[in-house]
Amino acid sequence: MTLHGDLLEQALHLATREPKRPKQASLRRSVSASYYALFHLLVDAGVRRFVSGDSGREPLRHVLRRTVIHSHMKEVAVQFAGGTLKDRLKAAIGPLAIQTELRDVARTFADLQDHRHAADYDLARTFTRFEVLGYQADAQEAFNDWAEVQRSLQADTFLVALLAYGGLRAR
Amino acid sequence: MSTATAIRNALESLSGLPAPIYAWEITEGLDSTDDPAVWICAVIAEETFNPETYRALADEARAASRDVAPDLWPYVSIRSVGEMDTAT
Repeated sequence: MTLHGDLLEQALHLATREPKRPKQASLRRSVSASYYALFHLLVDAGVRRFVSGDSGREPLRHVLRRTVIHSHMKEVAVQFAGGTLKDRLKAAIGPLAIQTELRDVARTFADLQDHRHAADYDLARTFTRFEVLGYQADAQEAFNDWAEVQRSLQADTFLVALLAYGGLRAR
Repeated sequence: MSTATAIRNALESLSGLPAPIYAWEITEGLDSTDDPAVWICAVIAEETFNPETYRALADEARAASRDVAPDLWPYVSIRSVGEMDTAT
């Protein structure tokens, strides 16, 4: 099992571990697990795509993993979700359309990031089991959608942007 | 008419939804990255919840919100009627 797969499973476990009165701590950690499941799925896909090779390259992959910035990733996700890519990214995919599945992955990433922020920092919020199960279902669907499109040029562009948007937006 | 009211009106006019809606809860504000957003919660009966229903409802709500307020990012969630009473 992968880290992202384990986190997705953990999100469901935490959302359902108290059968009658779910604890806010469990629900909040479930939201966080759903976000980080999708986060690690995409970051792992990106670093493995661009730093291939055996375990000897793993330290280099770790270096790349540590470069990502959550807020930049959200900016990229919003662009892909809405099909409104900035010119530098648009040039990479040319006339190709962004697939519905990839748009949904991007939209779910942006959604979950905000939910995760609320779950970790907004103690005025009360989370409910159905709400949290919905977020886990969103993450699960994003995993399925990603599997459909992950080998496409649009997906490669999405991964490059997630990992390197900080440099792109500064130019 | 406020944007939140316009979104509520759009949501309440939706027909053919996959589950009956007891209420729409709508809050407008800035999200965690200070972008304009709207949080939409659909309150449904417990027995009508499943992931497919949730996703279909969320898709409809997002589309309705974007039609009315394309500059607000819609965050959609769901809860059941009795859930707030059992939160600990």
